Parts: sequence; C-alpha cells; structure tokens
Amino acid sequence: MDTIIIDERIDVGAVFKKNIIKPRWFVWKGRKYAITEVTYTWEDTQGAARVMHFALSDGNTLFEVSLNLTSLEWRLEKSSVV
Amino acid sequence: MTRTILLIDMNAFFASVEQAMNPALRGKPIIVCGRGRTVVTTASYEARVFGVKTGMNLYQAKQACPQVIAVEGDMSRYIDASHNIQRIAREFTDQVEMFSIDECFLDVSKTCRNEVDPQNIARAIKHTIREKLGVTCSIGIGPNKVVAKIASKMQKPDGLIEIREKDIPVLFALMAVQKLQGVGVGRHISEKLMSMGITTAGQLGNTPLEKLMHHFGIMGYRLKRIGEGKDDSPVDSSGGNELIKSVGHSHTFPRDTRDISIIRSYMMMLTEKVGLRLREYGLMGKTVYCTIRFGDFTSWGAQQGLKEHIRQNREIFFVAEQILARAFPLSKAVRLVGLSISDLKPRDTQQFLLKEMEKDTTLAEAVDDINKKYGVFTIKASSVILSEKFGIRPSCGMVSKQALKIKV
Ligand SMILES: [Mg+2]
Repeated sequence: MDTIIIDERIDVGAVFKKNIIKPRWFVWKGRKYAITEVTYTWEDTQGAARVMHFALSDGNTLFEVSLNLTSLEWRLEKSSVV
Repeated sequence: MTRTILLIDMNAFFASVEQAMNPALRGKPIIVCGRGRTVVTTASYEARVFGVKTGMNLYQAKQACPQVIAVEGDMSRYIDASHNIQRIAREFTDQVEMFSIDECFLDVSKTCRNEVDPQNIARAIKHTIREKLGVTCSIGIGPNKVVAKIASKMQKPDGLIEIREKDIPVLFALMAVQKLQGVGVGRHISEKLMSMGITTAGQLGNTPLEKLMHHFGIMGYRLKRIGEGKDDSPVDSSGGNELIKSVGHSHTFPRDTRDISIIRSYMMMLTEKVGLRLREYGLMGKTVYCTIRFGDFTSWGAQQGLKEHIRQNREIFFVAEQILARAFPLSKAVRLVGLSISDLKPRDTQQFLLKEMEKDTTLAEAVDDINKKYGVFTIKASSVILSEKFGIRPSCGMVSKQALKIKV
C-alpha cells in the first residue's frame, strides 16, 4: 500500500447532522475532491485539543482528514492507494 | 459465591481496524507494521492462512505471502477503538478491566444473578462492536478470569464459548498444558511440565502442591490453581490509577551461561533500561533488587536498601554489582537476569502520578509544562503499548492500562 504523508491545511465542506459531522468535499492544491464515503472515524488529543479524524474515500483513494476541535482547522494528513 | 466473567478478545485487532477503515483492504492478506515498517505487529486472518505471524519481519512476511499488503499502523486509532469497546462493555456492567489494548474482562455476576444468560450479554456485545466498529471479537465466559481467557481462545475468529464450573474437570482432563499459554503457563513452563510427565491441564491440577513448589517455587501454587481451573483474582476496574510500585526489566540469555562478564554486561544493559524508565516516570528509588534464574528454573534473588533515593544509571549499576557479587561463585548456568528498583518516590515535590507521563525522555526537563500540554493519551503511552505488542515488555504493565482508561 502506498501511503503519502501530506499534513496540509485544507478547506472542507461538511454537513452537521444531529451530533455527527460528515465531510462532503475538500479542496487540496486547487482541486476539489468529492467524498463518496466516510469509512471510519476516531478521536485523539493533541495537547489540550480534541482532534477528530476521518477516513474518507473519493472512490479511488483513501484520505485521512483531521479536524482540531479547538482551532477548528481541517488538515489533510495522509492519502493512500492500495 | 459463583461469579460470571467475560473476556472480550479482539480478533487480529490492529489489522481488523485497518480493514474496517479502508474498504480496499477488506478480505485481503494484510500486515500492520510499526513505524519503520519492519516488524509485523498484527497479521489479518487472510495473511495468517499463509503462515504470516506477529514478530516476523517484512521480508519473511513477503516470503510467506508475496501479495501481502503492509500497512503502517496508527496507535491513535487503536486506542480510540479500545476506548469504544470499553464504553460498550460498560453498558452491561461497571466492573470492566481493560487488560490490554485488545482484551477486556467484565464481571457480570450481578447482572446474571437475575436470570440473565451471560451468552445473551456476549451476543449483544459482539453485535454492538461489529455495528459500531466494524470488527469482530471472541468472547470467553467462565467462573473466573483464567477460565474465561481459556474459553476466549477456543474459538477464533468471531467466537463465543462458555465454560461452566461443572464442565471444567472433563474439559481440563483433555486439554494439553500448552493450551494454558496466556494464562500464566508460558512455553518454558509447559515444556518443563511435559518433561515431568504432566501433559494435560487436569494432570497439572492433580499434581501434589509440594511437587510443583519443589520445581517452580512459589509459582507452583498458582500453577496448581490454574490446573484446577480456579482463580480468585477480581476484575480490576480501577484502570491502573495506582502509583508505580517498582520499575524493572529482565533479560533471558540466548543460551545459558556461567560467564561473569556476559552476566555483568547484561546487568549493565538492564541498568540503562531501568534508569531510563525511572527518569521517564520522574521517579527515584531506594531499594535495588537483582534476580537470577538458572537453567533448571530455580532462582536466586537479593536486594539492598539504600540510605538515599537514586536514579542515575551508574548509581544503580554500582548497587546492582554489589548485590550480584553475592551470587558468585555460581553453582549452575544462568538463564535470565533481572533488575528492579522499588521504594519509589516522585523526584519532584508535588504528587507525580502515572498519568502525567509524557513524550520520551524530555520528561526529566519539563514535567509541569508537558503535563499541561499533553493529556493522558500521549505518544509515549502508545509506544509503550506498541513495544508490548513487539514483545518488549516492561514490568510496569500499568502504564498501558492508564492510557487505556476512559473517563467514566
Ligand atoms: Mg486479540
């Protein structure tokens, strides 16, 4: 599996439904990626901040995207293709 | 009073989480490797079919299964999944002990006293874990932790086995002692038992206590209890809030030796490990204990109390050497040396609890700072868990338990 570490700030469009956050698209390097599936979510902490992690698929590639709940910053952490 | 204990054991945990996360990995042979991608921490069941095992290096895994997919693991995902399993377990009882990152004991005695079938509880747990996390587990049910653990190992993956008190004599009479690995009867002990003509769990339980004590020392008592399927240890839901009582390491030699220089150099290596850990925890100790286990499994141990607390490697080694000198001349070849330091106190004046441990050795410099910045679930704690997965097991198992604890 080829995994690339990206770790860059991105813009994300997300839907907040009840108490669930569902990212729908994000823009990275001028290109818009439509998310077809949120495959997994998990949480951890970075310092005092809670961070939500999302594994997202656009149909070809799996992206790991994080949302820092203190700074409200979205980051594209990794992408991987099998 | 009869008890009902469940052990939830996640199946190929790290690999299953990766497969749940990445649809492209489902149904495929995968291995989860640590950072640097060299050692297999977990192989998926699809990879196990090809003989891929934990502890293999990447090359060996590829030899066994050329199409195997190597995935770099992420501890934060597994810790989070472990927390979720714990939350699910807590819906059934407040007596929950996270035994390791992928094993969780539940005492459901109270619930089951009201005519509730423990198998129904187990089925509900399995269902919820599959729904919420997309992974499977094996659940063992028994009258105590030892038997529950044995039951959990009898059906993998996705198993559910209950061993009732009345089934134990028949079951244990047929069960090979090797099957007791994981409940305190390691490979070396089971080999030794076999050489004594004890080949089944039932035979172990029927062996006179004196005979077992003669061969295994104080451990003989525990072995007999295991063979009888007895175990009084409670499900400990405190979650490792205790202070560390001692810090220790041991090392088994590749082959038995009488060579003092070899023994001494390993003792020095152990000193470094113990010293490092001590400083990581921000502790210092006042009693040093050395132990030697011989090829025939008898052991020797001695300790020395000190006037002042120490924490530096050379201080520890100085004392360890003095203690070790008492063991010479050696009558038998040595198989293992161990070193531990106890009578610990925090190096800093304020209370230093385990949960305040942080990132790597920098702790020594900036305890307070880091306590504020880093929470309980730190990089360090997860690397400790990972090192346990790799088989490097520090004596302080509580560290990982602390990292696994959820706020209730
Ligand atoms: Mg397991």
